[in-house]
Amino acid sequence: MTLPLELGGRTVSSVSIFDDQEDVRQSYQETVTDSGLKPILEPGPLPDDPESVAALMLRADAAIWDHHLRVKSYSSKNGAEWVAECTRANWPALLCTKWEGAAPDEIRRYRRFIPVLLNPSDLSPDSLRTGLAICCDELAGRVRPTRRGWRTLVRVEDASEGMVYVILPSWNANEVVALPLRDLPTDLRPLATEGRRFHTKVNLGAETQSELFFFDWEPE
Amino acid sequence: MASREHLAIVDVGHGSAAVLVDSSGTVVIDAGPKAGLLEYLRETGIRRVDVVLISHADQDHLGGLLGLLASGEVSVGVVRLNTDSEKASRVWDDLVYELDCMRRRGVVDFETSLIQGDDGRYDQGVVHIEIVGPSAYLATKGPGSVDRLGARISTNSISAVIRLHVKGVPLVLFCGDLDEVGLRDLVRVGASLRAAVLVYPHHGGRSGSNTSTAFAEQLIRLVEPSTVVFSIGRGVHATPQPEVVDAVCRLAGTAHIVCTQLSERCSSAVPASEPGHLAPVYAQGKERRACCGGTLIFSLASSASMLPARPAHQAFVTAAAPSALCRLVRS
Repeated sequence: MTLPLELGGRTVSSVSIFDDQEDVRQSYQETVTDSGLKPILEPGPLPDDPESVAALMLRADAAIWDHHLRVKSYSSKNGAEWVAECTRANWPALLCTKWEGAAPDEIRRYRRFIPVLLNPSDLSPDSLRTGLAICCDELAGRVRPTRRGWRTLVRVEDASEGMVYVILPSWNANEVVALPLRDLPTDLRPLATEGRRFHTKVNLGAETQSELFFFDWEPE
Repeated sequence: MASREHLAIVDVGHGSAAVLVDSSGTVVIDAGPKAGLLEYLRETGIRRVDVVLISHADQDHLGGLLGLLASGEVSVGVVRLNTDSEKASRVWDDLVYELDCMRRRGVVDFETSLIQGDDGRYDQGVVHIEIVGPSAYLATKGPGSVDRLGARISTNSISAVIRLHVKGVPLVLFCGDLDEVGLRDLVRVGASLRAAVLVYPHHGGRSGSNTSTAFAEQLIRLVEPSTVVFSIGRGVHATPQPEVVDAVCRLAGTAHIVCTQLSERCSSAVPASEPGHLAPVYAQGKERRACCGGTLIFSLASSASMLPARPAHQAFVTAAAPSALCRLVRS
Protein backbone atom coordinates (compact mmCIF):
# COMPACT_ATOMS: atom_id res chain seq x y z
CA MET A 1 0.00 0.00 0.00
CA THR A 2 1.46 3.35 -0.97
CA LEU A 3 1.32 6.38 1.29
CA PRO A 4 2.12 9.26 -1.01
CA LEU A 5 3.81 12.31 0.37
CA GLU A 6 1.79 15.50 -0.11
CA LEU A 7 4.32 18.29 -0.02
CA GLY A 8 3.04 21.80 -0.71
CA GLY A 9 1.18 20.98 -3.89
CA ARG A 10 3.53 18.23 -5.01
CA THR A 11 2.67 14.54 -4.64
CA VAL A 12 5.46 12.03 -4.28
CA SER A 13 4.29 8.44 -4.56
CA SER A 14 7.14 6.85 -6.52
CA VAL A 15 10.94 7.01 -6.28
CA SER A 16 13.50 6.02 -8.91
CA ILE A 17 16.59 4.26 -7.60
CA PHE A 18 19.90 4.89 -9.34
CA ASP A 19 22.87 2.74 -8.28
CA ASP A 20 25.31 0.75 -10.39
CA GLN A 21 25.10 -2.20 -7.98
CA GLU A 22 22.05 -4.40 -8.24
CA ASP A 23 22.17 -5.56 -4.61
CA VAL A 24 22.13 -1.94 -3.48
CA ARG A 25 19.18 -1.18 -5.74
CA GLN A 26 17.36 -4.13 -4.18
CA SER A 27 18.17 -2.89 -0.69
CA TYR A 28 16.93 0.60 -1.46
CA GLN A 29 13.85 -0.93 -3.06
CA GLU A 30 12.90 -2.39 0.31
CA THR A 31 13.47 0.94 2.03
CA VAL A 32 11.33 2.79 -0.48
CA THR A 33 8.57 0.20 -0.17
CA ASP A 34 8.70 0.32 3.62
CA SER A 35 8.38 4.09 3.45
CA GLY A 36 5.07 3.72 1.67
CA LEU A 37 6.33 4.73 -1.75
CA LYS A 38 6.65 2.82 -5.01
CA PRO A 39 10.21 1.99 -6.09
CA ILE A 40 11.32 2.22 -9.71
CA LEU A 41 14.62 0.44 -10.27
CA GLU A 42 16.93 1.95 -12.86
CA PRO A 43 19.42 -0.69 -13.99
CA GLY A 44 21.17 1.61 -16.45
CA PRO A 45 23.06 2.43 -18.51
CA LEU A 46 21.89 6.00 -18.18
CA PRO A 47 21.48 8.26 -21.19
CA ASP A 48 23.31 11.47 -21.92
CA ASP A 49 21.05 13.13 -24.46
CA PRO A 50 18.68 15.76 -23.06
CA GLU A 51 15.51 14.14 -24.40
CA SER A 52 16.26 10.80 -22.77
CA VAL A 53 17.27 12.44 -19.55
CA ALA A 54 14.01 14.37 -19.49
CA ALA A 55 12.11 11.12 -20.09
CA LEU A 56 14.03 9.53 -17.22
CA MET A 57 12.73 12.20 -14.88
CA LEU A 58 9.16 11.42 -15.83
CA ARG A 59 9.32 7.80 -14.70
CA ALA A 60 8.87 8.64 -11.01
CA ASP A 61 8.06 11.56 -8.73
CA ALA A 62 11.49 11.66 -7.08
CA ALA A 63 14.84 9.87 -7.03
CA ILE A 64 17.61 8.47 -4.87
CA TRP A 65 21.07 8.59 -6.38
CA ASP A 66 24.29 6.85 -5.55
CA HIS A 67 27.38 8.95 -6.25
CA HIS A 68 29.99 6.56 -7.61
CA LEU A 69 28.30 5.82 -10.93
CA ARG A 70 31.04 6.23 -13.52
CA VAL A 71 31.84 2.57 -13.31
CA LYS A 72 30.78 -0.47 -15.32
CA SER A 73 29.34 1.88 -17.98
CA TYR A 74 26.39 2.69 -15.74
CA SER A 75 26.70 6.41 -16.33
CA SER A 76 29.06 8.99 -17.78
CA LYS A 77 28.39 11.24 -14.78
CA ASN A 78 28.59 10.74 -11.07
CA GLY A 79 25.59 11.00 -8.80
CA ALA A 80 26.36 14.44 -7.41
CA GLU A 81 26.22 15.88 -10.91
CA TRP A 82 23.00 13.98 -11.60
CA VAL A 83 21.32 15.24 -8.43
CA ALA A 84 22.29 18.79 -9.32
CA GLU A 85 20.77 18.30 -12.77
CA CYS A 86 17.60 16.90 -11.22
CA THR A 87 17.32 19.81 -8.80
CA ARG A 88 17.78 22.33 -11.57
CA ALA A 89 15.06 20.48 -13.48
CA ASN A 90 12.74 20.73 -10.45
CA TRP A 91 12.81 16.95 -9.88
CA PRO A 92 13.26 16.07 -6.18
CA ALA A 93 16.42 14.03 -5.75
CA LEU A 94 18.62 13.10 -2.85
CA LEU A 95 22.16 11.75 -2.84
CA CYS A 96 22.89 8.63 -0.83
CA THR A 97 26.58 7.82 -0.74
CA LYS A 98 29.49 6.72 1.39
CA TRP A 99 31.83 8.84 -0.73
CA GLU A 100 31.19 12.19 0.98
CA GLY A 101 34.41 12.05 2.98
CA ALA A 102 36.51 10.50 0.23
CA ALA A 103 35.43 12.74 -2.62
CA PRO A 104 34.57 16.04 -0.95
CA ASP A 105 35.66 18.21 -3.87
CA GLU A 106 33.66 16.22 -6.42
CA ILE A 107 30.53 16.57 -4.34
CA ARG A 108 31.14 20.14 -3.16
CA ARG A 109 31.15 21.41 -6.71
CA TYR A 110 27.47 20.41 -6.95
CA ARG A 111 26.55 20.74 -3.27
CA ARG A 112 24.51 23.87 -3.80
CA PHE A 113 22.03 21.79 -5.77
CA ILE A 114 22.05 18.75 -3.46
CA PRO A 115 19.44 19.53 -0.79
CA VAL A 116 19.93 16.24 1.04
CA LEU A 117 22.98 14.01 1.32
CA LEU A 118 22.66 10.80 3.31
CA ASN A 119 25.10 8.08 4.18
CA PRO A 120 23.63 4.67 3.30
CA SER A 121 23.77 3.72 6.96
CA ASP A 122 21.37 6.58 7.71
CA LEU A 123 18.87 5.69 5.01
CA SER A 124 15.62 4.46 6.50
CA PRO A 125 11.94 4.81 5.65
CA ASP A 126 11.74 7.80 8.00
CA SER A 127 14.89 9.51 6.76
CA LEU A 128 13.81 8.94 3.18
CA ARG A 129 10.43 10.58 3.69
CA THR A 130 12.03 13.42 5.65
CA GLY A 131 14.71 13.84 3.00
CA LEU A 132 12.19 13.99 0.19
CA ALA A 133 10.18 16.56 2.13
CA ILE A 134 13.31 18.69 2.49
CA CYS A 135 14.04 18.36 -1.24
CA CYS A 136 10.51 19.44 -2.13
CA ASP A 137 10.67 22.34 0.32
CA GLU A 138 13.89 23.59 -1.21
CA LEU A 139 12.47 23.32 -4.71
CA ALA A 140 9.55 25.43 -3.49
CA GLY A 141 11.95 28.09 -2.20
CA ARG A 142 11.81 27.14 1.46
CA VAL A 143 15.53 26.87 2.09
CA ARG A 144 16.85 25.70 5.44
CA PRO A 145 19.29 27.99 7.25
CA THR A 146 22.06 25.43 6.78
CA ARG A 147 21.56 25.71 3.03
CA ARG A 148 21.07 29.44 2.50
CA GLY A 149 23.88 31.29 0.71
CA TRP A 150 25.12 34.61 2.07
CA ARG A 151 27.64 36.98 0.58
CA THR A 152 30.72 36.79 2.76
CA LEU A 153 34.44 37.45 2.96
CA VAL A 154 36.92 34.72 2.08
CA ARG A 155 40.66 34.94 2.77
CA VAL A 156 43.24 32.81 0.99
CA GLU A 157 45.65 31.06 3.33
CA ASP A 158 47.61 29.23 0.67
CA ALA A 159 47.41 27.98 -2.88
CA SER A 160 49.42 25.12 -4.32
CA GLU A 161 49.16 22.16 -6.65
CA GLY A 162 45.80 23.08 -8.04
CA MET A 163 44.22 23.69 -4.65
CA VAL A 164 43.38 26.89 -2.80
CA TYR A 165 43.08 26.90 0.96
CA VAL A 166 40.73 29.50 2.38
CA ILE A 167 39.38 30.82 5.66
CA LEU A 168 35.80 31.97 6.06
CA PRO A 169 36.23 34.34 9.00
CA SER A 170 32.51 34.68 9.61
CA TRP A 171 32.04 30.90 9.59
CA ASN A 172 35.08 29.64 11.45
CA ALA A 173 38.35 31.52 11.58
CA ASN A 174 40.13 28.40 12.82
CA GLU A 175 39.25 25.99 10.05
CA VAL A 176 40.84 25.95 6.62
CA VAL A 177 38.65 24.86 3.72
CA ALA A 178 40.32 23.31 0.70
CA LEU A 179 38.91 24.06 -2.74
CA PRO A 180 40.11 22.97 -6.16
CA LEU A 181 41.42 26.02 -7.94
CA ARG A 182 39.30 25.08 -10.93
CA ASP A 183 36.19 25.79 -8.86
CA LEU A 184 37.06 29.50 -8.85
CA PRO A 185 36.13 31.65 -11.82
CA THR A 186 38.90 31.70 -14.41
CA ASP A 187 39.72 35.35 -13.90
CA LEU A 188 40.17 34.94 -10.14
CA ARG A 189 42.45 31.90 -10.22
CA PRO A 190 45.71 33.80 -10.76
CA LEU A 191 44.72 36.15 -7.92
CA ALA A 192 44.29 33.36 -5.38
CA THR A 193 47.50 33.93 -3.43
CA GLU A 194 48.19 34.01 0.29
CA GLY A 195 46.45 36.87 2.07
CA ARG A 196 44.21 37.76 -0.84
CA ARG A 197 40.56 38.37 -0.01
CA PHE A 198 37.44 37.84 -2.07
CA HIS A 199 33.72 38.03 -1.61
CA THR A 200 31.58 35.08 -2.56
CA LYS A 201 28.36 33.47 -1.45
CA VAL A 202 28.53 30.62 1.03
CA ASN A 203 25.95 28.78 3.11
CA LEU A 204 27.28 30.16 6.38
CA GLY A 205 24.75 28.18 8.39
CA ALA A 206 26.46 24.92 7.45
CA GLU A 207 27.48 22.95 10.49
CA THR A 208 30.39 21.08 8.93
CA GLN A 209 32.94 21.87 6.27
CA SER A 210 31.64 19.14 3.98
CA GLU A 211 28.29 20.94 3.73
CA LEU A 212 29.82 24.22 2.53
CA PHE A 213 29.36 25.37 -1.03
CA PHE A 214 30.58 28.48 -2.80
CA PHE A 215 29.04 30.43 -5.65
CA ASP A 216 28.83 33.91 -7.18
CA TRP A 217 32.50 34.75 -6.68
CA GLU A 218 33.04 38.47 -7.16
CA PRO A 219 35.80 39.94 -9.26
CA GLU A 220 38.12 42.34 -7.49
CA MET B 1 5.54 39.31 18.85
CA ALA B 2 8.86 39.80 17.10
CA SER B 3 7.35 42.48 14.87
CA ARG B 4 6.72 44.84 17.80
CA GLU B 5 9.22 46.40 20.16
CA HIS B 6 11.14 43.58 21.73
CA LEU B 7 14.49 42.23 22.79
CA ALA B 8 15.51 38.90 21.32
CA ILE B 9 18.28 36.80 22.79
CA VAL B 10 18.86 34.75 19.68
CA ASP B 11 19.72 31.08 19.73
CA VAL B 12 22.85 31.14 17.58
CA GLY B 13 24.34 27.98 19.01
CA HIS B 14 27.51 28.45 21.03
CA GLY B 15 27.78 32.21 21.00
CA SER B 16 25.89 35.35 21.87
CA ALA B 17 23.66 37.60 19.85
CA ALA B 18 20.83 39.86 20.89
CA VAL B 19 18.59 42.12 18.87
CA LEU B 20 16.79 45.10 20.39
CA VAL B 21 13.97 46.42 18.26
CA ASP B 22 12.42 49.69 19.31
CA SER B 23 10.24 52.17 17.51
CA SER B 24 13.26 54.37 16.90
CA GLY B 25 15.73 51.76 15.72
CA THR B 26 17.46 48.41 16.02
CA VAL B 27 20.49 47.57 18.10
CA VAL B 28 22.52 44.37 17.97
CA ILE B 29 24.50 43.35 21.03
CA ASP B 30 27.06 40.78 19.97
CA ALA B 31 26.65 39.11 16.62
CA GLY B 32 27.21 35.43 17.42
CA PRO B 33 28.99 33.10 15.02
CA LYS B 34 28.10 32.13 11.47
CA ALA B 35 24.70 33.08 10.07
CA GLY B 36 22.39 32.88 13.07
CA LEU B 37 22.00 36.63 13.44
CA LEU B 38 21.46 37.06 9.70
CA GLU B 39 18.78 34.37 9.72
CA TYR B 40 16.98 36.06 12.60
CA LEU B 41 17.09 39.47 10.94
CA ARG B 42 15.93 37.99 7.66
CA GLU B 43 13.02 36.17 9.24
CA THR B 44 11.86 39.22 11.15
CA GLY B 45 12.20 41.48 8.13
CA ILE B 46 14.87 43.72 9.67
CA ARG B 47 16.92 45.34 6.91
CA ARG B 48 18.59 48.05 8.95
CA VAL B 49 20.65 47.79 12.13
CA ASP B 50 21.38 51.19 13.57
CA VAL B 51 23.94 50.19 16.17
CA VAL B 52 26.12 47.11 16.65
CA LEU B 53 27.90 46.73 19.97
CA ILE B 54 30.42 43.89 20.22
CA SER B 55 31.52 42.85 23.70
CA HIS B 56 34.88 41.39 22.68
CA ALA B 57 36.76 39.87 19.78
CA ASP B 58 35.96 36.18 20.21
CA GLN B 59 34.63 34.39 17.13
CA ASP B 60 31.40 33.39 18.85
CA HIS B 61 30.55 37.04 19.51
CA LEU B 62 32.19 38.71 16.53
CA GLY B 63 31.96 36.24 13.63
CA GLY B 64 28.42 37.19 12.75
CA LEU B 65 29.42 40.84 12.41
CA LEU B 66 31.62 39.99 9.48
CA GLY B 67 28.73 38.11 7.94
CA LEU B 68 26.37 40.98 8.62
CA LEU B 69 28.66 43.57 7.04
CA ALA B 70 29.48 41.49 3.98
CA SER B 71 25.97 40.20 3.32
CA GLY B 72 24.77 43.34 1.60
CA GLU B 73 21.28 42.52 2.84
CA VAL B 74 21.28 44.53 6.05
CA SER B 75 22.56 48.07 6.31
CA VAL B 76 24.55 48.95 9.40
CA GLY B 77 24.90 52.39 10.91
CA VAL B 78 27.30 52.34 13.84
CA VAL B 79 29.74 49.67 15.01
CA ARG B 80 31.50 49.86 18.34
CA LEU B 81 33.94 47.43 19.89
CA ASN B 82 37.25 47.56 21.71
CA THR B 83 40.50 46.75 19.98
CA ASP B 84 42.28 43.65 21.07
CA SER B 85 45.94 43.24 20.28
CA GLU B 86 45.93 39.77 21.78
CA LYS B 87 43.37 38.14 19.54
CA ALA B 88 44.08 36.34 16.26
CA SER B 89 45.23 39.34 14.24
CA ARG B 90 44.22 37.95 10.86
CA VAL B 91 40.56 37.80 11.82
CA TRP B 92 40.84 41.30 13.20
CA ASP B 93 42.42 42.30 9.90
CA ASP B 94 39.47 40.71 8.10
CA LEU B 95 37.07 42.80 10.12
CA VAL B 96 39.03 45.97 9.52
CA TYR B 97 39.17 45.12 5.81
CA GLU B 98 35.42 44.68 5.63
CA LEU B 99 34.72 47.80 7.66
CA ASP B 100 37.10 49.76 5.51
CA CYS B 101 35.33 48.57 2.35
CA MET B 102 32.10 49.85 3.79
CA ARG B 103 33.48 53.05 5.24
CA ARG B 104 34.96 54.00 1.86
CA ARG B 105 31.43 53.77 0.56
CA GLY B 106 30.35 55.91 3.49
CA VAL B 107 28.00 53.31 4.85
CA VAL B 108 29.25 52.59 8.37
CA ASP B 109 30.50 54.58 11.37
CA PHE B 110 33.12 52.48 13.14
CA GLU B 111 35.05 53.23 16.33
CA THR B 112 37.23 51.04 18.47
CA SER B 113 35.90 52.22 21.78
CA LEU B 114 33.18 50.74 23.94
CA ILE B 115 33.90 51.54 27.56
CA GLN B 116 32.24 52.62 30.76
CA GLY B 117 30.78 56.07 30.42
CA ASP B 118 29.63 55.71 26.81
CA ASP B 119 26.10 55.93 28.18
CA GLY B 120 23.32 57.48 26.27
CA ARG B 121 25.10 57.43 22.93
CA TYR B 122 23.22 54.40 21.68
CA ASP B 123 19.82 54.79 23.37
CA GLN B 124 16.78 53.79 21.37
CA GLY B 125 13.29 55.03 22.22
CA VAL B 126 12.35 53.85 25.71
CA VAL B 127 15.56 51.85 26.10
CA HIS B 128 18.60 53.35 27.80
CA ILE B 129 21.76 51.46 26.89
CA GLU B 130 24.33 51.66 29.65
CA ILE B 131 27.91 50.62 29.03
CA VAL B 132 28.79 49.31 32.48
CA GLY B 133 32.29 48.16 31.61
CA PRO B 134 35.13 47.79 30.98
CA SER B 135 36.47 50.69 32.97
CA ALA B 136 38.73 53.11 31.16
CA TYR B 137 41.56 51.80 33.33
CA LEU B 138 41.15 48.18 32.29
CA ALA B 139 40.49 49.02 28.65
CA THR B 140 43.59 51.19 28.53
CA LYS B 141 45.76 48.54 30.17
CA GLY B 142 44.40 46.07 27.61
CA PRO B 143 44.70 42.33 27.11
CA GLY B 144 48.13 40.93 27.75
CA SER B 145 48.98 43.32 30.59
CA VAL B 146 48.23 42.93 34.30
CA ASP B 147 45.87 44.72 36.66
CA ARG B 148 46.71 46.37 39.98
CA LEU B 149 46.82 42.97 41.69
CA GLY B 150 49.13 41.53 39.08
CA ALA B 151 46.44 39.37 37.50
CA ARG B 152 46.65 38.93 33.78
CA ILE B 153 44.13 40.89 31.75
CA SER B 154 42.67 38.76 28.99
CA THR B 155 40.34 39.41 26.10
CA ASN B 156 37.51 38.18 28.31
CA SER B 157 38.51 40.56 31.10
CA ILE B 158 37.69 43.56 28.94
CA SER B 159 34.38 42.23 27.65
CA ALA B 160 31.97 45.10 27.31
CA VAL B 161 29.24 44.73 29.90
CA ILE B 162 26.01 46.29 28.68
CA ARG B 163 22.85 46.91 30.68
CA LEU B 164 19.51 47.77 29.12
CA HIS B 165 17.08 49.92 31.06
CA VAL B 166 13.49 50.07 29.94
CA LYS B 167 11.56 53.07 31.26
CA GLY B 168 14.11 53.48 34.01
CA VAL B 169 14.12 49.84 35.12
CA PRO B 170 17.26 47.74 34.56
CA LEU B 171 16.00 44.85 32.45
CA VAL B 172 18.94 42.90 31.03
CA LEU B 173 22.63 42.62 31.77
CA PHE B 174 24.86 41.31 28.98
CA CYS B 175 28.27 40.21 30.24
CA GLY B 176 30.05 38.96 27.14
CA ASP B 177 32.68 36.54 28.40
CA LEU B 178 33.47 38.58 31.51
CA ASP B 179 35.91 36.85 33.82
CA GLU B 180 36.96 37.33 37.44
CA VAL B 181 39.50 40.02 36.56
CA GLY B 182 36.87 42.03 34.72
CA LEU B 183 34.28 41.52 37.45
CA ARG B 184 36.71 42.55 40.17
CA ASP B 185 37.41 45.75 38.29
CA LEU B 186 33.70 46.53 37.94
CA VAL B 187 33.29 46.07 41.69
CA ARG B 188 36.33 48.30 42.26
CA VAL B 189 34.74 51.17 40.36
CA GLY B 190 31.40 50.67 42.09
CA ALA B 191 29.42 49.68 39.00
CA SER B 192 25.83 48.64 39.59
CA LEU B 193 25.00 45.36 37.91
CA ARG B 194 21.44 44.80 39.07
CA ALA B 195 19.06 43.58 36.37
CA ALA B 196 16.01 41.35 36.04
CA VAL B 197 17.66 39.21 33.36
CA LEU B 198 21.27 38.08 33.43
CA VAL B 199 22.85 36.72 30.28
CA TYR B 200 25.49 34.69 32.05
CA PRO B 201 29.07 35.31 30.95
CA HIS B 202 31.00 32.86 28.86
CA HIS B 203 27.95 30.70 28.23
CA GLY B 204 28.12 29.33 31.76
CA GLY B 205 31.66 28.12 31.26
CA ARG B 206 34.68 28.55 33.45
CA SER B 207 35.47 32.10 34.45
CA GLY B 208 39.17 31.93 33.83
CA SER B 209 40.49 30.00 36.81
CA ASN B 210 39.32 27.33 39.22
CA THR B 211 36.91 29.71 40.95
CA SER B 212 33.80 29.30 38.79
CA THR B 213 31.66 28.79 41.89
CA ALA B 214 32.98 31.86 43.68
CA PHE B 215 32.61 33.93 40.52
CA ALA B 216 29.04 32.76 40.01
CA GLU B 217 28.14 33.45 43.61
CA GLN B 218 29.55 36.95 43.48
CA LEU B 219 27.87 37.73 40.17
CA ILE B 220 24.45 36.52 41.27
CA ARG B 221 24.67 38.58 44.47
CA LEU B 222 25.52 41.68 42.45
CA VAL B 223 22.87 41.21 39.74
CA GLU B 224 19.98 39.66 41.74
CA PRO B 225 18.34 38.35 38.57
CA SER B 226 14.93 36.77 38.29
CA THR B 227 15.95 35.12 35.00
CA VAL B 228 19.34 33.69 34.12
CA VAL B 229 20.10 32.89 30.49
CA PHE B 230 22.85 30.61 29.24
CA SER B 231 23.41 31.12 25.53
CA ILE B 232 24.88 27.76 24.53
CA GLY B 233 25.30 25.33 21.68
CA ARG B 234 24.43 21.70 22.28
CA GLY B 235 27.51 19.54 22.03
CA VAL B 236 29.93 22.47 22.18
CA HIS B 237 32.17 22.92 25.21
CA ALA B 238 29.72 21.11 27.50
CA THR B 239 28.24 24.33 28.89
CA PRO B 240 26.80 25.36 31.24
CA GLN B 241 29.13 24.00 33.90
CA PRO B 242 27.24 22.17 36.68
CA GLU B 243 28.95 24.17 39.43
CA VAL B 244 27.78 27.40 37.79
CA VAL B 245 24.16 26.23 37.61
CA ASP B 246 24.42 25.00 41.18
CA ALA B 247 25.60 28.41 42.39
CA VAL B 248 22.85 30.16 40.44
CA CYS B 249 20.21 27.90 41.94
CA ARG B 250 21.50 28.31 45.48
CA LEU B 251 21.77 32.05 45.36
CA ALA B 252 19.12 33.11 42.87
CA GLY B 253 16.39 31.19 44.66
CA THR B 254 13.37 30.95 42.40
CA ALA B 255 15.04 32.52 39.36
CA HIS B 256 14.05 31.09 36.01
CA ILE B 257 17.08 29.38 34.49
CA VAL B 258 16.92 28.94 30.73
CA CYS B 259 19.46 27.75 28.20
CA THR B 260 18.97 28.58 24.56
CA GLN B 261 19.85 25.01 23.57
CA LEU B 262 19.50 21.71 25.36
CA SER B 263 22.83 20.93 26.94
CA GLU B 264 24.11 17.41 26.55
CA ARG B 265 24.66 17.57 30.33
CA CYS B 266 20.88 17.85 30.71
CA SER B 267 19.81 15.22 28.23
CA SER B 268 21.80 12.79 26.14
CA ALA B 269 19.06 12.76 23.50
CA VAL B 270 17.06 15.46 21.78
CA PRO B 271 13.25 15.28 21.91
CA ALA B 272 11.67 12.78 19.56
CA SER B 273 9.18 15.34 18.29
CA GLU B 274 9.13 19.07 17.63
CA PRO B 275 8.74 21.01 20.89
CA GLY B 276 5.66 23.18 21.01
CA HIS B 277 6.78 25.80 23.51
CA LEU B 278 9.35 27.71 21.46
CA ALA B 279 8.89 31.26 20.25
CA PRO B 280 7.82 31.25 16.58
CA VAL B 281 11.08 32.76 15.36
CA TYR B 282 14.43 31.54 14.10
CA ALA B 283 16.52 29.50 16.51
CA GLN B 284 19.64 27.70 15.37
CA GLY B 285 18.75 24.61 17.35
CA LYS B 286 15.33 24.10 15.77
CA GLU B 287 16.59 22.17 12.77
CA ARG B 288 18.17 19.51 15.02
CA ARG B 289 15.49 19.74 17.74
CA ALA B 290 18.30 20.94 20.00
CA CYS B 291 16.48 23.90 21.55
CA CYS B 292 15.68 24.22 25.22
CA GLY B 293 14.44 27.82 25.52
CA GLY B 294 15.46 28.57 21.95
CA THR B 295 15.39 32.22 20.98
CA LEU B 296 14.03 34.21 23.91
CA ILE B 297 11.76 37.18 23.22
CA PHE B 298 11.22 39.85 25.85
CA SER B 299 8.50 42.40 25.30
CA LEU B 300 9.54 45.99 25.95
CA ALA B 301 5.95 46.83 26.73
CA SER B 302 5.89 44.38 29.60
CA SER B 303 9.31 43.58 31.01
CA ALA B 304 7.95 40.51 32.78
CA SER B 305 6.74 38.98 29.55
CA MET B 306 8.98 36.43 27.87
CA LEU B 307 8.51 33.86 25.14
CA PRO B 308 8.63 31.02 25.71
CA ALA B 309 6.68 31.58 28.90
CA ARG B 310 8.20 30.12 32.03
CA PRO B 311 5.51 27.48 32.69
CA ALA B 312 5.71 26.20 29.13
CA HIS B 313 9.50 26.07 29.21
CA GLN B 314 9.57 24.29 32.54
CA ALA B 315 6.97 21.78 31.35
CA PHE B 316 9.23 21.03 28.39
CA VAL B 317 12.24 20.52 30.66
CA THR B 318 10.26 18.24 32.96
CA ALA B 319 9.17 16.09 30.05
CA ALA B 320 12.26 16.13 27.85
CA ALA B 321 15.09 16.52 30.34
CA PRO B 322 14.05 15.34 33.80
CA SER B 323 17.74 15.16 34.74
CA ALA B 324 18.44 18.71 33.61
CA LEU B 325 21.00 20.61 35.67
CA CYS B 326 18.46 23.25 36.62
CA ARG B 327 16.17 20.55 38.00
CA LEU B 328 18.71 18.33 39.74
CA VAL B 329 20.02 20.99 42.07
CA ARG B 330 16.55 22.06 43.14
CA SER B 331 14.91 18.67 43.56
